Amino acid sequence: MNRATASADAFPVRVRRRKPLITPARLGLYAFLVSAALFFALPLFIMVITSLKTMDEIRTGTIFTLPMAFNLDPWIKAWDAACTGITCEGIKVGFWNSIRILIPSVALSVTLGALNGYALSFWKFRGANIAFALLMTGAFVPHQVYVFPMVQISAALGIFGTLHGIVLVHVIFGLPVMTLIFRNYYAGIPEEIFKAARVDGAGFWRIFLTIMLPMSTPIMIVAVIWQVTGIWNDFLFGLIFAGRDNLPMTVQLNNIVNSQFGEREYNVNMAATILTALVPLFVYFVSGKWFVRGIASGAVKG
Amino acid sequence: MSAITVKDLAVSFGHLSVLRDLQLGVNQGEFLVLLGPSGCGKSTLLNAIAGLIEPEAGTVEIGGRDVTHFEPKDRGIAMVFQSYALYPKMTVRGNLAFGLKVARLPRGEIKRRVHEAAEFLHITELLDRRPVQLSGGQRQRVAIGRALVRNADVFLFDEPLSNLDAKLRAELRVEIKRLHRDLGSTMIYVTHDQIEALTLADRIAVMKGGIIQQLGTPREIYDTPANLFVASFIGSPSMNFLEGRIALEGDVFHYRNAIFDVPLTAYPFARPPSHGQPVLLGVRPENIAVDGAPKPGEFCAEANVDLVEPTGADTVVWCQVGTHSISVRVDAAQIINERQKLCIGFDPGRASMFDLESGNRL
Repeated sequence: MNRATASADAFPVRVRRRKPLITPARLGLYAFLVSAALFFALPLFIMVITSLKTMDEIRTGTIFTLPMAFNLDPWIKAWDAACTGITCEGIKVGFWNSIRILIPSVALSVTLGALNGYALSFWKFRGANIAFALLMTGAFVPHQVYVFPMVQISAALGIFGTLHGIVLVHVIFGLPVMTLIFRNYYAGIPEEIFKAARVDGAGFWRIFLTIMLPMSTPIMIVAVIWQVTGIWNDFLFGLIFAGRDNLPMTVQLNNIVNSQFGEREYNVNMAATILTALVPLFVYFVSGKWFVRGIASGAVKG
Repeated sequence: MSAITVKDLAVSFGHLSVLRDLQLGVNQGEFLVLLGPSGCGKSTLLNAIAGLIEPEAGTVEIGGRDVTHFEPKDRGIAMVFQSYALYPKMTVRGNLAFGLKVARLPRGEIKRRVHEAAEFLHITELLDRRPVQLSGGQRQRVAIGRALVRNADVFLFDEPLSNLDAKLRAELRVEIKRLHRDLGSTMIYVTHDQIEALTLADRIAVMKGGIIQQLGTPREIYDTPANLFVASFIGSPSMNFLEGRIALEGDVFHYRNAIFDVPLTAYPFARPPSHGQPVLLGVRPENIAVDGAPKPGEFCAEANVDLVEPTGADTVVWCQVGTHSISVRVDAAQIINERQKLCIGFDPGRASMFDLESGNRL
């Protein structure tokens, strides 16, 4: 007998049996997943159907039934005519305020965070670790602690209650986490790439702009999602620092829901709430895949 | 004139002192290898020469200029790294041209130099690819190309072949040697691989603990190691070490232990030993002869063969002499069997004698 057949006898080819599709464990798993999905989807479902009902229909108390007629009026009213205090221009005012706060705040905090993270991981200046530790206290100490001093500082700067004021506050409080995210990402980039660029004669800005930033796409996406949802959902800073003319959508929503006279318009409230939640929801739906990919990916791949 | 002179160099990271009072001169056009185990300070020394690490004290001169406080780009150097360190988002062409663009060279000049380097390294057809689309060997070629386009006087290599598999390593080693021959530039090459060091170097600096243990030609390092560390670090299988004492008989020094009594008339003592001095005798596996090849009658020790390792070109025989385990390299044609008894001897003129206490060569 030759060697080949001997080894074939010793390790017979195993016939692969197909696993049954339905097992008790799998049933349990699906039962759990379905009930979890229902738990989170049900409130959303009720909000959507309630927002499409007329007040007359809501008063009947049939909370789970589908609307009898598809009625978009509450949505239009929520957007265009709902009252926030004395003015009745709908939540669109808050929407545009939030956009005006969001864009500069996100752009500045992400850019500065990337720059900070880059400087801290590659240009190890004296005291870099202390600077980083101090910055981290900003990430972990509750923000409420800083509210009063920040009010004083922004008042002294003359920007309290302005768009500049609220943007500055968002940038400052966004920096610690942005710096942490980028620093950790850049720590994964081989230092030799940085050294090679220095031998090639590139300086601080050129290395950042032409080598590090192009490698940062995945973490950029993570940072932008983080900041967009965080700043959009902010209530406290907007209420305190933005000033009456720049109140963000979350604050306006609260005003609509809580400051109406007479009957509570549940359908309008529901529509306004969904409208407010739409931006973060959209961001998660569109970029959830990128978010996970960005967090899981290394720096040098691709 | 030295191309590179390092004087009294000291580098430390926090409280950890890596290099102290280091002196090194590299000649124009020389290929110098810094060899040592990891953590010996060889890469630190290279980085200090490149200007990527700020030294605590001392000076670095390149081409007669004191460049201690110069930026890396102003030192007239080019560098190749272990992890290739290619810019991942640029094409090969972009990688090669990057340094030249930073230096604001005219476009035509950049194009010409990139083309020349690519031609020289046979990577012309890879110019439009990204680093991810290249194999390890191709990446390292590109990294060498990136150093080449800089027209530098000095090339620094930081373990450039350590990430490659054995076959590619041997190929690129030959190519680096050819590169040095054709360019005639001064090169400093850091490695922990003794084969790379012995094959490439004009001179080798063997380092340990931040100190250059020995600086010499590969032949000197191999044949007359300055101390026990160098002797045991270079050579595979490593040198055999036998404990013993120096004995003076008449006016002839002898090396003596329970088994051997070797007259040392042929041994070139660097400094005269004393009677009764405890020593280690070192002898390379290939310098041990089996069955009377050294003049019989001088000495011959009985050895029991323990293991036989054929390596193709030759065979390594592990045998037991008294309590010592000794490796012997013999011709592959010589048939030796396990449990065989041999008579082994060696030429004392080709052995090394070390002081047991200090480890220094006698």
